[in-house]
Amino acid sequence: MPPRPRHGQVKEVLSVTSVNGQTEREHGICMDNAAAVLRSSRREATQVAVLWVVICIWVVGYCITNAYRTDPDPVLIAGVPSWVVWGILAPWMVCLAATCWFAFRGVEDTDLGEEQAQAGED
Amino acid sequence: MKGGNIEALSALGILMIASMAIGVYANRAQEKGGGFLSGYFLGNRGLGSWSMALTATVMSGGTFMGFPSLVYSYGWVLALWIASYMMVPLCTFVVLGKRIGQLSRQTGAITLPDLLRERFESPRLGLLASIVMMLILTFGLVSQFKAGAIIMQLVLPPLPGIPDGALYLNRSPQFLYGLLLFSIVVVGYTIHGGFLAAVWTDLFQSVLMAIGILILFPLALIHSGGLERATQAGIAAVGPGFAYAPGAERDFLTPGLAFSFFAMWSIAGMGQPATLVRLMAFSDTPTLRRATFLLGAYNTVIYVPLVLIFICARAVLPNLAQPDEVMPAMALKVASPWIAGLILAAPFGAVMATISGFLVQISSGLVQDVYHRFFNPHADEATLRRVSNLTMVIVAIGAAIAAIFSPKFLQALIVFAGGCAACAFLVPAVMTAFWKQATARSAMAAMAAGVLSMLALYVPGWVRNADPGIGEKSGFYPVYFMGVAPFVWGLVASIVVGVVVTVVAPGPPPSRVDEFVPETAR
Repeated sequence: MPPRPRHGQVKEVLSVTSVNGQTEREHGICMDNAAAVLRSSRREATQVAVLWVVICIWVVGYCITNAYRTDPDPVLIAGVPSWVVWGILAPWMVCLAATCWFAFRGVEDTDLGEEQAQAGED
Repeated sequence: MKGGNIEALSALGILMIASMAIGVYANRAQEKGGGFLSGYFLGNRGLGSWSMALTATVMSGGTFMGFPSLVYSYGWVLALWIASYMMVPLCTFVVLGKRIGQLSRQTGAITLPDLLRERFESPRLGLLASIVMMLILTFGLVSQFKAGAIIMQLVLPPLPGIPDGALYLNRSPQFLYGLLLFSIVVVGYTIHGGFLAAVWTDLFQSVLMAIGILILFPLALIHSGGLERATQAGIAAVGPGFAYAPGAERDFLTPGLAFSFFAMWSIAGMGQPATLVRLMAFSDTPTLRRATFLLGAYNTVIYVPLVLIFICARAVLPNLAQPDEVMPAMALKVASPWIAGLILAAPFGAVMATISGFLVQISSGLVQDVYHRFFNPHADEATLRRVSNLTMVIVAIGAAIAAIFSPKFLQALIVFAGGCAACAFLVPAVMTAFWKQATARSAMAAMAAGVLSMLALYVPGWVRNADPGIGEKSGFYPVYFMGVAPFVWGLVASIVVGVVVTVVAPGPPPSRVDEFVPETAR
């Protein structure tokens, strides 16, 4: 069984055997694409991390301030305790809006590359 | 719920037949493209949006059986307990999705250990990841077999000629023949359909659950007389803690635990092997984006109404002796027996899908990461298929026997196993995706630090076995150091050790950095 070619090795061989420059351009496109996936993923992951911190502070902070008490006559909004409405349902709606934004605009479509030979075949 | 409920039994029967049919269909689908390993263990990287969205997160029978009983027992604080499900779609899909999908294609990896091994060029890391993953999944598998048998026990009629209350191996006859029937079905369709069967049955039960919840929600509101009356009924039954944190009758969710669970549900899900392997299986980035949206909508439709329904249960069933049975009891009380059967069938389907997924992963670990790699690298497809089938049967028999003899504190072990999985795999997965200086050594160090920290906080708690007075009441308790759940400390340890070892130890060769973390684009 021949050794499984690695991603980089495939490109190397293609470059050497190129006769008209086409494969070198493909190599460049492939590397550009891989770097683009990395860059966009990092950017999107950072945005999510920032949002996570903001939502965590909102939810946990608001609830710690307003939910830890034992009033026998709680303030209810449509039957729901007010701390649940402002500390959980409101940020939930914000998160849902953010999720829609990421799904339809924030996440960049990228080519994830070609399938290589299976890892177990080397 | 009494045994022999014909409608509920029929619903479970229909679900089992549907699962078998899904297994047959999945078998045909996975044979259409790619080789046996890629098709059987990864569905030829062809998962669509719905399959990704409704199967990649941490949902099992416990989500739909255990959670309602917690709402019924402790009240509105459970809304805070599950609040971070609002962040799950973004954390699960957006943070790691594209990079794990890209790297798994680039390396040809079809399992999580495969990915780590190839990315860091380290067989030792791959083997360690395989062992940790299989140990963790085995804990989960035993508990799911037990959960399936318990549901069967609720609906199966007594066997003729066997006296009521008879026990064999300390279990009821319904538990034992329910376990046998259940095991045959779930192993049968998993062997036949592989990864796709596991994913599609998971999808099927998720849709079933959504339908059940959407039917139950208005009925619960009508029968309880509204949320305000239900909240007042809860306060009357268990005190004002029902409407506040930390919960009724117990410090269920202290501020430290509120933060811990916010981190746990949103972050721990990212590190579960079941989630990571699905990130290797989606077809393209538009699929990932659509799945993000679908999961956001699904979590909103499922989890918010779940809290509201079982708050209402306090007015409908004010003094339920067994809170664990609140879901079927509520369904039977407010809906027709057939709707109750549907609602009971959904968590049963979730249990089957979870077992199926675990069996595929354990089998892929043993076949791809151990047998194919170390014992028989030149095995043909027929041999791999036979070994895979045999592995699943042996693992399932072992798990079913363990379920019969499983101790009462198994649920605590499952929570430990889920946290352990996240502490073991999350930091190495993030390093794999984003950090060019990361090495096999730093990934192994992070994995070991996470698991050992969890052990350091769980084992003394189990040995001491004293109720700390916070968190869920159960048989065994971990040490809540500074009032924070062990998962958080495990993750902190994994991050710190991973970062220190990466910074201090020699970095990877430049060729590997260029290959997997190509910073310099033209």
